[in-house]
Amino acid sequence: MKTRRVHRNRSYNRDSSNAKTRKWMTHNRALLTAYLWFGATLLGLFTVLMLSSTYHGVVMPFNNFLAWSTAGVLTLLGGGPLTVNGTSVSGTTFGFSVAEGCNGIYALVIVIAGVMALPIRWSRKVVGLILAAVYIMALNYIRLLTLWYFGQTSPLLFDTMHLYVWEFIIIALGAAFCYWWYEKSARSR
Amino acid sequence: MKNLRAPAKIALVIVLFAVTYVPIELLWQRLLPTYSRLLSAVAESVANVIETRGSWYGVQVKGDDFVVEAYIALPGNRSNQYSFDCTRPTNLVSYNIPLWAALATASAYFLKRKTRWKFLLLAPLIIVAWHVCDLTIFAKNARWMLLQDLHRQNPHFVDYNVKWQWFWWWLFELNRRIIDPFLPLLLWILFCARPFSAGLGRQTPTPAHSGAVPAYRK
Repeated sequence: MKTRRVHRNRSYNRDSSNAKTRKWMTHNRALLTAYLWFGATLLGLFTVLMLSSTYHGVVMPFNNFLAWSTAGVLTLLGGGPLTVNGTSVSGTTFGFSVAEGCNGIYALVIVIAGVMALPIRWSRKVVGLILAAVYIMALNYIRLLTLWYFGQTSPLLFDTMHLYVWEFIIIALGAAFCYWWYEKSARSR
Repeated sequence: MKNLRAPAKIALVIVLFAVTYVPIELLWQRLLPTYSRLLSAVAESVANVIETRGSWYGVQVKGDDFVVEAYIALPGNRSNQYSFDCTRPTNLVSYNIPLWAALATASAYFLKRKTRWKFLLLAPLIIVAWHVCDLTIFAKNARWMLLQDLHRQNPHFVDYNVKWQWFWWWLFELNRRIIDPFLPLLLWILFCARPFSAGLGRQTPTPAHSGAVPAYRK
């Protein structure tokens, strides 16, 4: 009898823990779906970017365009005579190259994953994606321009800004964009 | 200040983050050599535990770099082994610790006590555990480079572990480009975003027979 009672208790515990899990899943369904969308979009886009054909067909031409257009803006701002060779921009005292991680594409991928994860209408998601692309690219232009001026001032300052500060500014502003877009879309619903 | 609207709270957190980040980073530069030595010792122990056929790599700190020494026994002669060194700067592995510390300092005031303790205790454990994973992934990728180097010298050498190397390379790149810089922010979103977000939190459906009156009927 005792054994049977213990068995019953165990089965009751298992049922109650299953019910608890189910309740937790129901309560957090929106959040879990958002995390799943975020992870799937992030990993999917990252894998596409890692393909050799994407690198040669999209990323490299985009880096060349970024270097060319940054040099153009710097010339307009009085940055002196600049030489552009592929992805590298060089002046009389300083030069930099727009490498693979410097084009803002990875930050854009994360913001895209963030927008896709938001529980909003698809039309709002599409508008959000377009706005996100314009926003991150504008931020990246500001980043490249400021890095140019920092590089001319001091190599140490350039390294600090390049490796630590700007990276996080872009992440934080990207997350702030996702938050703003979600609040805006939720209010207009 | 806790009654501020969510956007104002977020703006304040970003400003506080910007103010606290530089002193925390400077402090971290002083602690980095000790942390790197500890991390390399742990990563090497992990390598000895997880590699069932005997460890084929070791992690050491040389100067400002983690050096992963991958080695492989050459066929035919057991005592003869081929080794290859791969370096990864210590500051690039662990620069997310000051980012986490600055985020924690900047947002601590706005968090509930339970959330605050979670972010202060669990998040650094996850970050440190990920650093060990980082070095392990890097070592797995180093083996690929070792095999390529060996293949260049001895084209007849074949190692069937090569078939999984695309995965380690993919994981290494994912870690370097996305997980490393974004880990503190992802953890912040996981642990702390709720107090800052109006609607992304719980979605509580009205139970069918609970007697609760749906909002539109009130």
